[in-house]
Amino acid sequence: MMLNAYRVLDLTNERGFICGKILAELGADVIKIEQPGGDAARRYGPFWKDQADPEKSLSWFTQNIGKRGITLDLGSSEGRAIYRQLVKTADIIVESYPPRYLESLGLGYAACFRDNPGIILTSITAHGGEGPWKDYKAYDLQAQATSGTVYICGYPEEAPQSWGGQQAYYQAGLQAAVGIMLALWQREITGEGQFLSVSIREAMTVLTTNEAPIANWIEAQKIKQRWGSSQEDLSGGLLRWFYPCKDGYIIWRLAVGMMGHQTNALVAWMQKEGMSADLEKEVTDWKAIGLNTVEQPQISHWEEIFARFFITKTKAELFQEALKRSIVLFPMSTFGEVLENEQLRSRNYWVELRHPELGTTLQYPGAIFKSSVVPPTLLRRAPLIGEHNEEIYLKELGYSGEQLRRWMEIKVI
Amino acid sequence: MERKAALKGLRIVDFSWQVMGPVCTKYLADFGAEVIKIESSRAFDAARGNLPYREGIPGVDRSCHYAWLNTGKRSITLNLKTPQGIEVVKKLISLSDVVVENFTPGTMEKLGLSYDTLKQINPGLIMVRLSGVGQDGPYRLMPALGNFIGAWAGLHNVFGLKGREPIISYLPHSDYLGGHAGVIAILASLLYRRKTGQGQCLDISMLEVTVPLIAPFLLDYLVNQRDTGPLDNKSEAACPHGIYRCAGQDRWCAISIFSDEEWSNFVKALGNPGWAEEPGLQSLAGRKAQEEALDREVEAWTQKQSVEEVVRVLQAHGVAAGIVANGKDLWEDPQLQSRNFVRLVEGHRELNQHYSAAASFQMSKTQPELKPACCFGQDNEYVFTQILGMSDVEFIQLLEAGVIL
Repeated sequence: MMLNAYRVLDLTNERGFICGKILAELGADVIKIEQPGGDAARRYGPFWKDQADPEKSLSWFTQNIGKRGITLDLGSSEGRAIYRQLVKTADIIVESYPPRYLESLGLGYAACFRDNPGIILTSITAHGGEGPWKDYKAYDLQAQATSGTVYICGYPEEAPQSWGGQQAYYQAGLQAAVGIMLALWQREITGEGQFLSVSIREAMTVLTTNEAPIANWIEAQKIKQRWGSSQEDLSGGLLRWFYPCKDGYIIWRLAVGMMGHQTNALVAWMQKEGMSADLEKEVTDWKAIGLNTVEQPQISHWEEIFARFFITKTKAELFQEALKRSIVLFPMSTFGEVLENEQLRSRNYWVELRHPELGTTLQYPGAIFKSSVVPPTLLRRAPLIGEHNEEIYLKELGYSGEQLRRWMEIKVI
Repeated sequence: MERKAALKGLRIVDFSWQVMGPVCTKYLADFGAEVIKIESSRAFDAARGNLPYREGIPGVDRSCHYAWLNTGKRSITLNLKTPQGIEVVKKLISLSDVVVENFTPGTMEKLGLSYDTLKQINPGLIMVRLSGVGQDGPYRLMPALGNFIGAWAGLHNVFGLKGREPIISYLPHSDYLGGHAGVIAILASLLYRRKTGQGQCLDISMLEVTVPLIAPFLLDYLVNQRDTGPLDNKSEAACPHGIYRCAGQDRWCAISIFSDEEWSNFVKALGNPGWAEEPGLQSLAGRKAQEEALDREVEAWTQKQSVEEVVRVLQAHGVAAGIVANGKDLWEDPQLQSRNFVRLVEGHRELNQHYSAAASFQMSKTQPELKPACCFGQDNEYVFTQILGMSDVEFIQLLEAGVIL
């Protein structure tokens, strides 16, 4: 696999789990280092069969898949000495402790660099570890809120909406992996590693560049608003995106100008079914329409006609016909429908991994890309607590069984 | 400390347009690679028409949205519908490391630029193909935007309010996920090529990079048959956990209380009000049981003061609180300023100067250098004469033949 040659020490909590998971997917040897007894995040649900047990957290599984796992107490001097041995064997460290915590243990970048000049130390924190907000306490919700992504989502006059499921942590983990890849490439050229600091909030702010709240403020002193299921189109005008149909919602947007052929095709279909309300007479060619020249009530009037058509069909009916007629329209999937998605199945997307201790196999989302030569994949389920202690401490680092037993007694491991 | 451009010396041929591809190649350009964007006056990057335009005046080089996403790239204009255009682009690819494209699957094949063809010309080539749903499969030809894919991937199940129509996100997450996956894929492939000499073709589907965002909910559905609904800013592991109205017009604060220690800090920050002393509220389970009433009390407090004051007081007591920032707040944000996140880029040929953003990560030995976004066709002469080695006569002949247009 692509990153076979690299070892990653993963000291993260939920703020940074995803980074190591992605590197593992590409073949890196990712060692999740947990405190003796296991990561605190193992106590977060949902759990397998709703059994609250640190070995059964489904959210922990999905974020630590592909990694090996050991336990080690960095709070003890013996733990730190063992850790420094590990650092010598590693290429990358990823951590998400509060700013300066590792420095306070004498395990900051300077110390790691002395032990291993090639090491790439990546620190994932709410605000990047420096600056006036460096010690601001922030969880995923605050990272999303302060990023600018939340203000523009939700219904007007009501509380803005964040994305569920710790999406800021996900973005930060992914973007940390981007930084690590850049650092690995640079190391190929210079031989030296470096220190990276990732801001979880900024990882979300990166996403706003598409809707450009900052550019809109700078250029036009305009504050982008939220409009429920509608949004201000980048070419002007307020367009609705979600429409109810017989069995749920579909997502479709009035296409005009360069994309107007899609709406021509949709109206032709509606006309065939006698549901076009003479729209074909009102607008003969949607390619000739520009949203910046149409008044909002006109747009709403058109959208109402399309809405009356959509509500008479099921998601599947709309999607299949849209595909035939090259109309961009998608169903809003339930979880069940995601798992049954034909496109994903036909590409062998899902990964089945055995969990012998649960006596079962679980189905996980697959790799983030496919390759013609060395396809990324996830080869092992998330580790049990201390599952690879013997493998790594005895076989790979060469400590004796007696030493390991002693460290386990005094809870260093 | 030494600050070298990490990707100096790499050349990228960039057919990508709109958001996903340009997000990917912006990293490459900002970190020092030579990114050559291929457009033509028949098929230019549609993002050149995205608002806002500088001073509200439309123009192919006046979109500040486009400028934001295309810093440091070169732009050439080439008619790929002519045999000579294809010949020229093949020559360029033979001199490059990476090709990036995000057309509808099949388009590169129709142009005669399939991976199989290109690897004959350049065996070490890394070709990154970004698309809505992947290069094969029954739905491969469905054109897609990030928001559509987010809905198809199931993201909206956990977003918004129960019983209300779905909320559209302003953020096509999927475009950004695909763009970032693209950078990771390219660099991993470059490292692999360095060791083995082998190039490869990479197939990135927005749908496939989006589904992992809801992995825990999917497993919960599979294992426990639980169909989690819209979360309305709530969390099972925290209470209070939400977005609360503050004084002023449309001002909001995000507050999260996970531990009992945070709860007691919160109560202190509020000045130990009587309602908060109730024994039932001293555990997470107790607070969750009375969440609605509790939220009303919290909001009664936040509404009396500015969001800035709420954040100041709560942070001083060790409670996670953050402003729900709009564009103006972000622009004035002292933390973003201290990290030099939004940067003024000088030297744009039409706009003179424009803004863009650096990465969410800072690196000790390299940093992104944001150069002006490419104006349409601004590098024709340089690329055709300096990189491809054409004479001025050949260059002018291509112009006259409509190959460069």
